[in-house]
Amino acid sequence: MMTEVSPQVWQAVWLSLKVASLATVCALPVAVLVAYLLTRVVFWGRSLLTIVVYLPLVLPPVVTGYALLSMFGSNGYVGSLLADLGIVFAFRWTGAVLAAAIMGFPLMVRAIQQALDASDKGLEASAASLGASKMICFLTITLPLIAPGVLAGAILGFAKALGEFGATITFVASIPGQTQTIPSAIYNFLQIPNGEPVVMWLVGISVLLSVVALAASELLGRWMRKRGV
Amino acid sequence: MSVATSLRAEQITVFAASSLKPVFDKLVPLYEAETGERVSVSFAGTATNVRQIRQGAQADVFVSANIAWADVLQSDESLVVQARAVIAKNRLVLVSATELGSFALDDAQHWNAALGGGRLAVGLTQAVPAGIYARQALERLNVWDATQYKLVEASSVQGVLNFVRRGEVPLGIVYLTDALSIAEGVYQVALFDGNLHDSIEYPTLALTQAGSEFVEFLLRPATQKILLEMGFETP
Repeated sequence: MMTEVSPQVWQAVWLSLKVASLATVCALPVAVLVAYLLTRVVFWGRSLLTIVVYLPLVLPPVVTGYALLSMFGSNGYVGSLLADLGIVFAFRWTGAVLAAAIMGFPLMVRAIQQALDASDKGLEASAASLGASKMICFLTITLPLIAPGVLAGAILGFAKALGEFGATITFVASIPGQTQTIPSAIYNFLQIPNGEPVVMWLVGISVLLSVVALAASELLGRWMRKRGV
Repeated sequence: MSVATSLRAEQITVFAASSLKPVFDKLVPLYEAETGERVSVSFAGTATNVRQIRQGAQADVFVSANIAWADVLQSDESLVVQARAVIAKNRLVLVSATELGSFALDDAQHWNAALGGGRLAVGLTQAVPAGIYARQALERLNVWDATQYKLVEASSVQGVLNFVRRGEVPLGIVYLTDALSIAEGVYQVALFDGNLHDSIEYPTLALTQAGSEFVEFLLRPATQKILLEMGFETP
């Protein structure tokens, strides 16, 4: 039994790592930008943007998944436009990345927003008064100040992406090697009488991954504080 | 004691396979009107139901979508099974997003032509009963090679229907009763012969005395007639 299912387990683990990493890397810069807009810039529609950003956090994941299917499926409004450019999400691992990124996004924005709120705006003002442009100011003053918050957001987003199930399975189903991530594989084997040994394997691996991610963030955080950032 | 007994009889809890929702929505009010009892039904995947009952969920009746999970529950020593009976059978049907002409289920060329670059949606072929039966049928029709790398495996039959109805996949395999309960957007292409897969039956366990009475009601000719009308087959 074990030797028979092992490839499927490792496939799911590898896919989950790939999906969660890529989702984090793609979503993080956008999250920094959006968090900056929401805390530092006054513009029309700011409340609306806040609501849209946080919606995936409060909606049932299945609803988010169905919305993704409606928009980014090959017959969706956005999906059919992107298909002309050769970008396809439906039933591909890229769709799992999209779902994971969107579900992790609010957590990233939240952590970065909190760091921005807590950071010293006086330093930004001084830099600006000395003639630094907004961009230079952001890159040399603000970003280093909020780095721990960005890191925390990245870890939270990565963890959320790793555990995302409802939106992913609704949007891109559960195709071994393509869209069957660790949670989908756990769901799969929970439906099988005597599937528990494989489930235990997968649960053990996901706990291990989470511990490693948390330990890494802890170490990085300590190193940053020591460096005096 | 007598108060406790009468209180218990006022409400029964049924854990049932999701594919039974449309028919149970009709049957439950009939039973309630006849007995004055309140019936609450928890619809979920069969595996979920079994795990919940084994963890102590108070169920009077369990309606399984396959035999293996009914056996798992029956062999649990902490439960007393009062009665076991098959209340209905079902069939598999190939459905499509657009109207198709005649379709030979055992002809790989028909599958290739109808799928084109698209995929075939089924339930999880290792786990969801409808998906397990679908895989058995495709294998016995000798079209597994033509379809296995084009599968989209959904976590439930409802997921399969969503993919087909939204036109995300050209074809899907669902229970006949599910196809019948969908008003539009899904077309029936061909019915799978019943001997291409294990018998699709709903073994039902009564776990209390009050539960046995509900199971008896399900087996009555008048109830069976309603099940037939909804596309089920009688045991």
